[in-house]
Amino acid sequence: MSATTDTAGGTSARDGGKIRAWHWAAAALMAFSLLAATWLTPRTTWYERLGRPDYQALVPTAFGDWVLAPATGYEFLVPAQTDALNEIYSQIVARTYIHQPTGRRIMLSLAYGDVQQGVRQLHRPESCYSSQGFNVGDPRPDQATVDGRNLDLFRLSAVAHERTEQVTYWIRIGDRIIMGPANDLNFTRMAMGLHGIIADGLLFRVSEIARDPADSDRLQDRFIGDLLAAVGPSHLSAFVGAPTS
Amino acid sequence: MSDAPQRSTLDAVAPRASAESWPSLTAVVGFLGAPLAVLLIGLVVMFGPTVFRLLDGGAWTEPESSHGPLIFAISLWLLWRRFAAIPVAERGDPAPGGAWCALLVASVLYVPGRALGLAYLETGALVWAMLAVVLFVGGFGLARRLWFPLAFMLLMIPLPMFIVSHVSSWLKPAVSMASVAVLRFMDYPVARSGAIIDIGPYQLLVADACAGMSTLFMLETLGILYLHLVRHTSRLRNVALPVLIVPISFVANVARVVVLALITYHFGDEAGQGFMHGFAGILLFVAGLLLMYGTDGLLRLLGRAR
Repeated sequence: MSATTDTAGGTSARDGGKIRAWHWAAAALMAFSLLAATWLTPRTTWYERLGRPDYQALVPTAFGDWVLAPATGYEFLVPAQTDALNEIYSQIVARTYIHQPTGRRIMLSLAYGDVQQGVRQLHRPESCYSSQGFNVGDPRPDQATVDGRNLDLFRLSAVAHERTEQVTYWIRIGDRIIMGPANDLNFTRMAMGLHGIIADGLLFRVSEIARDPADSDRLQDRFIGDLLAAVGPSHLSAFVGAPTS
Repeated sequence: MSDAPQRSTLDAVAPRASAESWPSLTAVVGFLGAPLAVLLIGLVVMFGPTVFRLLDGGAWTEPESSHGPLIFAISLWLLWRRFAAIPVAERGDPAPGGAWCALLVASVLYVPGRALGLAYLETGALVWAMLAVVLFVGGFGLARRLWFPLAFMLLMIPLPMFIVSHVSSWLKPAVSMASVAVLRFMDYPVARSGAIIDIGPYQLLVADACAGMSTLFMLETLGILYLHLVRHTSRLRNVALPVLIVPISFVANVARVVVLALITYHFGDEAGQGFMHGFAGILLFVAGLLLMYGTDGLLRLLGRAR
């Protein structure tokens, strides 16, 4: 292509009308940017690396002192929210277990997104609870010792009307448990992306309707410990990430 | 390539609406100038996939960024119209230095943005790349004359999730609270917990979409466009209206939630969720536009009074 068109020739348009090397260079940089982005785009998912975990099957219905509570028709959610949740998460496990010695009920809720991108990123419980009308305090970082291994997690109390729910949760992104501010979640996701891996995300949440947080936390830690022991070491990373840390 | 070498470049100098036939390729290149033609090809190569992804299930298909394609189309149209109206001789001298800077910024935003699926970086890069092309072709003089469509394009950048969820988690309870206050004032039996409104036997969930991020952006877009097209000279109106659109869209959203609550209360759940839900959305939007227009009228009076 040649500059056939030294158009109606104003003086200042002289330069603008002629094609220069840097015009080609600029167009080349644009095309190169597309190539670079395509080359850097992560292709393998952590979901595949984990062996496509199926949480519904991985979480046993009975273990230790715990058995699945018979369905009561009790639901966690306003129906309108179920659709929204299905859009964000690829797997949801919501079960209630009974602690046989005491009869206390623990609610387990797993929300899993196999691809943490865009609008399909998982939501933190504190925002979900508050939009359902709970008063939520700030989540408190805490640690539980499970199987001789320290597990970083958050505690929070959600209060609505006469109902107080004690909640324990953690978020796993790829091979890491996320502690600290919300940005940590984003950075972990991006760091994995730059290593060529599309992160997945698991929100593991356990709760009990109880007034005394300390007492409830103890029971919940037992539940978590029993559950992870029942899951077995081979699938542990699908729940709590890489064994280091 | 040159199927119509005789056709004078005059044909192409101004793309007249009355042109009997499509201009030939040479005529188009002739009008654009070869540098611009090359740069535009680069731009399409780089951002064609971006726009496709945004529209194909990407960020622009989400309610809070659904105004994106509209802004993009309007900006392109305005850019083209303004650009075509400027005689070739007056385009101004290229500013390659500034252009390279803008293009580098675009690339630096684009590569990680596209690779990691961060639509706000990738779309932001598009605006910088457009600026780069303008600077390559006509320098800062041309950029100054095209400033509005360039700046307007900033509004099409989808907001990152962490901002959307922040604002929305603040907006949802606020809208619910205000709606309940209105309904209580009208003596309806209402109670609220978080974003759930109980009215009589019914329960309404104020969802993300209802919180009104999308209305806010849509009204903001139209408001700014309106201000630009009527070419206000008054600084008061140019600044005050975009700011006032924030409370206007809040009021409009509260009105919608109240209307929906009343429909549900009087005609049942079905009515509130079905056709009326969409209808209330449109009503709200019209109400927002009227409020905006009215506010602008008031501002005009205020400006005159001084």
